[in-house]
Amino acid sequence: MADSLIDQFVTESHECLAEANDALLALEKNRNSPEAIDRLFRTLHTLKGNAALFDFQPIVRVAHVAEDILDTIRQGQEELTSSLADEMFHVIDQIGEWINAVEKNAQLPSGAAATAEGLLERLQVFTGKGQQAEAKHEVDFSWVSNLPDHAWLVPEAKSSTGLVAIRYTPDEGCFFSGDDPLLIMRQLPGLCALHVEFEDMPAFAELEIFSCKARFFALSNAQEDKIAAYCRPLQEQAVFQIVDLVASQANLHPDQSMFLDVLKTQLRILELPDIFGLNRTRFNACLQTIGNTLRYMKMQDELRQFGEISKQALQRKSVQGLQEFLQGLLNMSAAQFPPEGEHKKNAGSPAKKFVQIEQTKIDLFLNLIGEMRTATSGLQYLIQHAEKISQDLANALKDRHAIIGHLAYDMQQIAVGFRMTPMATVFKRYPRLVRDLSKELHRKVKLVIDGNETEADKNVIELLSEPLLHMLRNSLVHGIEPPEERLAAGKNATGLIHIHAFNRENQLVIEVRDDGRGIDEERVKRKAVASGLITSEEAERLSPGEASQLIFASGFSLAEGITDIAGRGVGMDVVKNSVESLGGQVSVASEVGHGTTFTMTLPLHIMSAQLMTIQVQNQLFGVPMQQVRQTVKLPRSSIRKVKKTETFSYRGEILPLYDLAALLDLAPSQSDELSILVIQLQRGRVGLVVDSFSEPAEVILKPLSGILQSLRNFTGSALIADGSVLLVLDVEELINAH
Amino acid sequence: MPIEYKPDVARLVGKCTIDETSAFYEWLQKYPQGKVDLSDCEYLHMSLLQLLMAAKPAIAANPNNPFLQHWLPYLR
Repeated sequence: MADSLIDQFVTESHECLAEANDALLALEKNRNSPEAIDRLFRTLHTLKGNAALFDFQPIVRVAHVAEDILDTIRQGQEELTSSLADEMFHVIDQIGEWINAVEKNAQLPSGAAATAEGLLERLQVFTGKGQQAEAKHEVDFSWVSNLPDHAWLVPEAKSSTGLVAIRYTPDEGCFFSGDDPLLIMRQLPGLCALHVEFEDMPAFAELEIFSCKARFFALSNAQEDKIAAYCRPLQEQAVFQIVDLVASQANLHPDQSMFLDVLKTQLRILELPDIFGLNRTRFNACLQTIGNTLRYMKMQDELRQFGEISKQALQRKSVQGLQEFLQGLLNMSAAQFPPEGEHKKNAGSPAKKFVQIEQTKIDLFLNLIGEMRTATSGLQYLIQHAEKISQDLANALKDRHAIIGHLAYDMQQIAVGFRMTPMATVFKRYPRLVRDLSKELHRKVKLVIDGNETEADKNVIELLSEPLLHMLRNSLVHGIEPPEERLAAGKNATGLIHIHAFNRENQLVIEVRDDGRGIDEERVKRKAVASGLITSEEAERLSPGEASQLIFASGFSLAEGITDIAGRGVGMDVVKNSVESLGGQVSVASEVGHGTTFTMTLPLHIMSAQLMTIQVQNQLFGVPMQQVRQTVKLPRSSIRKVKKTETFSYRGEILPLYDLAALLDLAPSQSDELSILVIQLQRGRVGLVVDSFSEPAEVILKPLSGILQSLRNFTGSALIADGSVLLVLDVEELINAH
Repeated sequence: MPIEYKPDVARLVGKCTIDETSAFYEWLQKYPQGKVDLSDCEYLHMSLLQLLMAAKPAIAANPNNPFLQHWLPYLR
């Protein structure tokens, strides 16, 4: 997508939808939570506003009606029933689908308007009672923050929260019905502030003296229900709403004050004579400043308007339009600032500034730093060479090398940090999933998530989303029992699923634990034999715990029938493949009747990896360090052949031994002493015969590209310190293929 | 009489109701330089306040009633 505004819209909309999902879940849990209603309302409102910028009417209309429904809930006229919650989730999902379409094609799908109609029709059921609220919702209460000082009858109330704002527009003919609007306002319970304005006041000579032109704006510290009762006889002439003066009134956020200051200065500059002189330097600087300020404040509407006005100013060489535009902005009240701007999110703490950078640029930067580190390591060779010529030169080079090395390392750490993302970004999707699935499966489930703040590489986290989803489904479908079954087993009717992310030894560990029925290994074995995955002899040889791992085999499923959720025989093998493609491992532990724990261990970053470099027939290869358990040297005579497989004894265990040269179709080693790398694979530990081992190295892994991409025995390539390139082995694949 | 009229000053006294509106309007039109004495005014109908706010006459004496004092800034 070329349009960066659309890009921004899509990103922000996804954030809004995630937030809306969260808020709706919270609201469903606590149906009276005003905080959750407000959060949901705000996010839908932002979504609606953003969509309106691009004239995405279906989104605008659906979000608007959803807002109305929320308003009726807020007013206590409607209750968040289970079916209403479902509809609201449906609204969020539908908008999500539309946003996905916009992301792909920069426009809504062709049937969006019709889909919106259908959705609106369903929502109508819930909006029926809320007509009055809809009218109220349209009333603008931003005047609250703009009341003149002299309007205050009780100045101390300025710092109050929860005042009731009343806007009273008497009928023009009210004097004839015997009303005195001034008396009505004077007797308003808890009156704190009263302001009057006149609409279309004619010249004094033409004044219709019995026509009321006044509009009143009042604030009261009385209870809202008292105001409601007082205003009832006034019907639609009076509208009221509780307002938070502290938030909306004169106490502008520092960003807003800064915004106003900057604009005031620009206005003064525009008033200077000869503003278009000096090659318009001053004028251009002014435009640049205003544009940047609007952008910072995320005032998209104003920014567009500004673009047009500044064009006209240049064409006409007149600043009048621009001055009027700035004056309009300066007259804005706090409430008119964008509600979801960054400046509000950071209220109360020193403002953080953010710059959005395309991920590809960060990746490129990271690659370059990686290569710089490798190039820096190359200096080591120069130093060795220099030592032969001059020790002084070598020492000087060593000092420089150390400094550059440190700097490169620090830079790499910072650059790697750019891509670090908290697990919360993926975890936040799951409460909704668990809610929907448990409803569909008639389970009661409590989801506990720990480690939201644990960070890992953005790519790791994104690729984890799918495997985690499968694990959760698995726990819900196969793990957690129906409430009656749980009660019968002496368990709490509500099952527990616990997701826990944490760091261990520079790795990311994610556990998904449930307190369900656990994995019945005998049943797994039967299913595996029935589906031809293993023979019944093999099944008998499986030790406790091993059979459980069969659920990761391709095509294996325990579900009895095919549903939307499970039973298609895809799932846990997807988990295993995804995790392994990230250089990680997955395992399962289970206790019948007590539950199951899935554990995924992954590298924190995909980009950098610790490799053990090995040599075979003068060729260098790398093996991921996390697989390497030990290096051992054994005489060839100690190798035993069991059937067709060579084996060796390692810490009292007999492990299969493979000659890497043979696996790579190179000439096998003839040496009497064998160098063996003990490697931990999914299948268990194996030995790998190599010619020699070198130092472990930290490298930047690059996936194979072009023709090399189809090579299945390698996971990628890496550049090492002396500038040579090595291939990183996929030992599991290599042994499987042999 | 709640409003006592003189050519240079109109004195609003006690409770000034909508019934005074026509006469007050005429006086304001007739004596645009006339001043208004609000010191003894206790109650003012909206129609009268509207006239005062539209005409903005000079104030000969400020009201003593706090609620009426509230409107003084609107009369300037």
